[in-house]
Amino acid sequence: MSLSVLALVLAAAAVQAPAPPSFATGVEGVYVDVFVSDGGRPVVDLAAGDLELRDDGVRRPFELVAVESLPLASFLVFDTSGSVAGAKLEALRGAAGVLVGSLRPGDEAALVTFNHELRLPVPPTADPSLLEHALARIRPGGETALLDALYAATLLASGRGRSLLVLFTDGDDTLSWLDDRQVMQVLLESNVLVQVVGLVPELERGYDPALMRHDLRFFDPNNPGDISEKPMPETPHMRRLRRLAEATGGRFWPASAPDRLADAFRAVAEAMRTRYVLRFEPGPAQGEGLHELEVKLVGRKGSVHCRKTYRSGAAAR
Amino acid sequence: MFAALAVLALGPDLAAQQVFPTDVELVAVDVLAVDSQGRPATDLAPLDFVVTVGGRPRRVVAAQLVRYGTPATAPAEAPPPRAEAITNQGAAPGRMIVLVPDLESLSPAGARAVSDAAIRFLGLLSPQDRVALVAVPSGPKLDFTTDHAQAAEALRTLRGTTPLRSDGFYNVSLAEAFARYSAMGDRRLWCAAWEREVLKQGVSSSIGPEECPDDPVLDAEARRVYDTAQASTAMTMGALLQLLRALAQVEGPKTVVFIGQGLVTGASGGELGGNRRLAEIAEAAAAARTGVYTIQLERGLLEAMDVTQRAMPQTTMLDQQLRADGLEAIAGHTGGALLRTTANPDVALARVATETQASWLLSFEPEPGDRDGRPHAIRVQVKRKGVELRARPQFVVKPKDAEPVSAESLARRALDAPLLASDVPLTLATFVLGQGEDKVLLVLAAEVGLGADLADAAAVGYSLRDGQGRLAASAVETGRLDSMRAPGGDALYYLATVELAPGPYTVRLAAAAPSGRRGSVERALEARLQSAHGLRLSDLLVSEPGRRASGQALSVDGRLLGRTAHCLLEIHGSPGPPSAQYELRTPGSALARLVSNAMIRPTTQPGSYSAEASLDLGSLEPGRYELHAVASLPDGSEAGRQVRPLELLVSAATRRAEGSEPGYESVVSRYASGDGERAVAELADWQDRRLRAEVRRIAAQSLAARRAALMLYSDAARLARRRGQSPELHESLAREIAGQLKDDYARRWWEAMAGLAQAESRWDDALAWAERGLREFPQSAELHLVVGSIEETFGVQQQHLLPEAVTGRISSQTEANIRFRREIDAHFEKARRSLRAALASDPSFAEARLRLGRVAYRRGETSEARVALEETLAQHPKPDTAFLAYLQLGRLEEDEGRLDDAARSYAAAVALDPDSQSARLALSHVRQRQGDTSGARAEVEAVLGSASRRRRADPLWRYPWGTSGSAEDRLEALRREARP
Repeated sequence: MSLSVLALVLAAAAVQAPAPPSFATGVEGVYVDVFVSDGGRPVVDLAAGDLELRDDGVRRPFELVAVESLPLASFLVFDTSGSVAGAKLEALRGAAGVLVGSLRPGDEAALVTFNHELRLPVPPTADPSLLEHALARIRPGGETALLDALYAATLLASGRGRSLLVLFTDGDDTLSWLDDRQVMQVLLESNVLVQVVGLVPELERGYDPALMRHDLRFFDPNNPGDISEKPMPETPHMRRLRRLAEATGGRFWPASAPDRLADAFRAVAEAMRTRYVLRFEPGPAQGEGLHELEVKLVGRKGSVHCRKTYRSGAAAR
Repeated sequence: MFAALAVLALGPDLAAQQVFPTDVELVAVDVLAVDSQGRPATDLAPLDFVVTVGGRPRRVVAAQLVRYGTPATAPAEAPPPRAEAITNQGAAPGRMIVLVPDLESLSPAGARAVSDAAIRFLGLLSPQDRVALVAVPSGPKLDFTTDHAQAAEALRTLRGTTPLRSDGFYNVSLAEAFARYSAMGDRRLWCAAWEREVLKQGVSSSIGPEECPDDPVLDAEARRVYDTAQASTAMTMGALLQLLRALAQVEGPKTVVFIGQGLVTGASGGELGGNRRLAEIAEAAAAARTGVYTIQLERGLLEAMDVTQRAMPQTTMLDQQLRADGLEAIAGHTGGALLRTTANPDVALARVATETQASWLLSFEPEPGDRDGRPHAIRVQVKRKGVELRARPQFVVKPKDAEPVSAESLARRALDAPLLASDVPLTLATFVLGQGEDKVLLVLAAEVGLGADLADAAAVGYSLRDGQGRLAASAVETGRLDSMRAPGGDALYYLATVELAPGPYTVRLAAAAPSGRRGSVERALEARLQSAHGLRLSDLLVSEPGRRASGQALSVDGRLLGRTAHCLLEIHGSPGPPSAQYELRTPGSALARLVSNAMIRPTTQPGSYSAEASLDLGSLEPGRYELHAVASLPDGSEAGRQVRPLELLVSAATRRAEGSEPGYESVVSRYASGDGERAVAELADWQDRRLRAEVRRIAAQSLAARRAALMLYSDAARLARRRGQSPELHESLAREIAGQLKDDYARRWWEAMAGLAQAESRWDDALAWAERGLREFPQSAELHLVVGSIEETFGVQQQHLLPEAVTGRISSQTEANIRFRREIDAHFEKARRSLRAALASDPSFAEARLRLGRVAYRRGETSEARVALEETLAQHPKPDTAFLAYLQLGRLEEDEGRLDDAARSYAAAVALDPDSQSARLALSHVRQRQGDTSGARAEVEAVLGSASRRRRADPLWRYPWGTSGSAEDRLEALRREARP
């Protein structure tokens, strides 16, 4: 696809989609995607009074927006390097179907694939069949430029309303130009929610056990919001992925085997349904640029997962 | 005569292995010898038989017992694996049995009884037995087949006709009709019928035997019965004669089982009308080497009972005899037997199955008139008490062909003959390989038991029939064989491939020598790849180098003579490169005696790969082994395995002592003359000691010979690696040769070998090659670059794992982290030293300077990095080097917060390669930092827009492999120089 054709496709997709709410602006209001859990389980009965929001340390009024009223732009960012071939790819295709199947009317989804090369097989579309067709045509091979892909997808997803980026990978980055800090910075300034699904056995390979931390836990597929008590070692690469996801309010979803990928994707879809969206307007004291953001519970028990920063002003658009 | 004596010397059981010799001067006749229970008499000798022809005794020279296969104990016995060889030697041959139900005489109930019993009879046969079905005068027909299930299906379609009984006003029996109209009519019997039918009285003595008046209606009924019987007999015997004449075209002895409720020839009723036809049947049976068992289903009484409303004729026994006449006569004229049964023919059929389990082939000396193609009366008797013979009263010997029949014609005949021939020993193995999406490639490999002198004269061919019996492929060739070493001596090697649609097939292989000797072998197979967890696996092929004159040969029967076995498995339908491992185990053991990883290579078909390895069997003792080819999915999980039994016949010591390899000089000479592939393959199979010995005396050879030897050993090492073997020996000897050369050629060889390892991502190997080379050539900038680039890669990879790679903060100073950082520093320091050494040797080496700048950047030495990168650009290097220098310079500037400078450097890189991904992403990122989000996004869209249509790879993607991309070209240049 040539650049001009790509631009046309993207423009057409934008026209077809319902008008998205503006997310990261300093004028219309800022939307914050929040997930609240207690003991690993999602907390689903919060009212606005149960939460407090601070922008650069200043408490700001906000409103709770009904999640179902906001269309979601999902970007599936899939690792198609050589190591994904075989059962993993088959499982990934099936698991992606879970996400695609969870799209609601008005939602859009796009597919970005990467090995050492980045591709956009499906620009944002409301037609799930295009995604299914493209998933079926994935041919794995090559090295892995994960960070480059995450960066590119984040830029594509930014400014598209409530955006979800689901990154799947089974291995470490081997050939990106951009490094972690560069990508982290972009994620911190974007409004994109990043959920990372990683195949853990692959990620564990080849690392010095002394460098692993034991602070990551498997999720329970039967109770997607729950975290089991079984700890697992966290490799440097897993830690990298977890931190990148958490910077956006998302998390790292480890799958222990290809046949657990569908569970992980189902958990991601479920988590998106049990989130809160807070809308607020920055106060006059808050200028343009990067803002620190804090959301916490008031009189309720639990943990709040949301992005820690946002950027306001023209650079955020 | 010699052949006959040889048969005698072997004795009956061993002689049985020689089935149906086709090259005999003697006249041979088939006889069955059975005891009172119908069991074959198997302990007879030629002297037990008495043969007279035309009343004159003939000396029986040979009596060959032919045992047929025993019944299958399990009805659904699995066929042997298709890769397992089959042979026509030692296996019991099958019988040829034609089931002939006479539907003209069988009532519907009788036909059902015959159908049911015949199906049970099939269960008494061996799998090798071929059955045909020919209903007479017309009805279901099935050609000879070993598919007994198919025969059973055909038998189920048998339908009888109305029995021979009166449906008219009067009820006249067969005997009564004969009493009225046959030449030797019985007036008393006829009058009894008249009394019963006309007077409606029982048989009485009130009317004398000749006093019954004519009754036109009764006469007409009798005439109808009489004529119907005669017409039915004529039709049935005509059909039987036709069948026997057709069977004459089928080689080998055959048995016809004729089953009916009767065949009325009138012999017991005073008629002789069937005699002429009987003579013809006898002659046809003799010409066809066919004995005819006749089974009479005596249902007359049972079916007469059905006529309940009318007075019954009292002639049931006479009727049955009349109906038996024809059957008895046919059995007598064809060397068979009449077996009578009342309700169902199970017992009679079981008797046939038992009696035909073995037969005797009696050979006697001919007389001049014997071979005239005409029937000769023969009488065969046996002296042994309690033994009964079934022998045809005639024999026919066709005159010898005036024109000698070609081997090709003989092979074709053997392909068409229902029975297999065993004069030429054959061993056949079949293998199924993939051939595109909807085809398979069937490989036929055979050992033909003929001497090497017949390689150009023997004919070999095959026929393939699909599941419906249709001919799918056939070919016969003459003079295309190659001599090969076989366990029993020399043999001929045959190899053919056939492209087929997947499915069930029956393949037959036939071979013939000009002398008339023939052999054939046949097997059913499922031509389909084995499905395994989404993959499809071919059969496992094993070949041995040097097994035949012109190279290697597929192992047909799994028996190996040499020290090397090459293995091949095809893996299809894999979305990425799979892996495979070969394991040689002793049968039943889970422990592998030998393990070798397969070299995976893509085939020309998408998603298909070959997994090849070469096993060194030199250390194994003779015995039976199992070869397991274990195919794994790209994720490492086992997808499936193919197992093949192997047998090593030659001991390790013998293999070592053989020393049959070609001479070293001839191999080197062959290599130097351009026949590299063969020379390398030969060298790769040499013994270690010999390889070392040849290298030791290389110093005395010419420079050209030493260079050729260097490349030969190098290529042999690569071949070993491809085969999954250790290349270490060949590589170390090559290094030894290179050590003796010490010239520019050797330096370039070291550089090429190090580059090759780097190109193949064998990082440690590449490092070792480069460091060893540097000992010989410490000034080699290229070798220093290899060391520097690999150490740089190691350092970058490890740096990527540091926690601060994400956070930018050194969060923990654990012992492990400190050690880890020291290792990274050591890699970068070594890289810097090597790159500086490269530049010291060649200051114009821009690639080395670029890397020096990147290493300095990685070490946080930005000033040194900047100087090195700017000097690189000042040298006006190749575009890829300049691209990378601009890219790295841009990063350095970006880190320093000089975003405009960084954007300019990145843009310069984009200008050198507009399709590059790395430079555009770098530019995008700096635009983002500059607050130009739309500009940043535009660069990303440009990257995605150019995906798939990129004209060349991004230089960054090739960076870890340095300049090794040219290693193959450099090696090829060295090979060319080594050839005069």
